[in-house]
Amino acid sequence: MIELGCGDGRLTLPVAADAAYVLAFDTDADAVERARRALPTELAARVDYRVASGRDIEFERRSFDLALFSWSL
Amino acid sequence: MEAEDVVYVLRNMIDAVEPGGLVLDLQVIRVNPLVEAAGETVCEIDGEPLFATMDAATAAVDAAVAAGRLAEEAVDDHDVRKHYVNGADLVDHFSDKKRRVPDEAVPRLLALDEPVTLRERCRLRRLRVLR
Repeated sequence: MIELGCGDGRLTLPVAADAAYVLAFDTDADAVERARRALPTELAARVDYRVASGRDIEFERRSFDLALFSWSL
Repeated sequence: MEAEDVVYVLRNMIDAVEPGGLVLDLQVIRVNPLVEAAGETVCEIDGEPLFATMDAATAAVDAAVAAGRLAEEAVDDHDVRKHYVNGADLVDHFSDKKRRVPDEAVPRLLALDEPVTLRERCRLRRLRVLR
C-alpha cells in the first residue's frame, strides 16, 4: 500500500497489519516522527514512513495494490 | 495543496498502483466540523480552508473517472471522530493548522479538563484503477 498524507499514522497502522509493505509519507516532519515512534516492532519491517510530498515521493510505478489518500489529496 | 498540484499528485498516485488495484480517497465533506464535550457541542470550526482543496480533489478524481483511468465502485459518507485529552489539547492541535478554533471558543475550551472530540463528516470513495 502507498499512503498519501499519513500524518502521525492514524490510519496507517490498522491497514499495515494486513499489508505486505506500506510506503506512508507526509510533508509534516513532526507528524512522521510521531508515526515512527509509535510504530510497533512487529510492523517495523513492513512500514516505511517518509517525509515527502505527493509530487516528489519516489516509488516504482505500478508496484502497489492500494493507494490511500488520508484527507490528503 | 494547490489545484494544479492535486491533478499532478493524483496522476502520480494512480501511476503507483497496478491496473486492477484500488484507490481509497478519504475526503472531508462541506459541513463544518463540531467540537463536542460530554455529548454537547462546544463550538463549530470553520472548515472553509480545507473545502477549496476538497473541491479540487473531488474534481480531479471525477475527471480521472471520466477519462477512464478510475472506476468508482462505492461511496460511503460517515462521521469521523478525533479524540483529545482535553480542550487545551485540541486548541494546541489547531494552533498551526489552516482551520482555526474560533477565538471566542478558546477560553471555554482551555477550561475543559475532560475529553473533547472533533466530529466531522467525511466521504470515502473506493476507486478501481483501470489503466
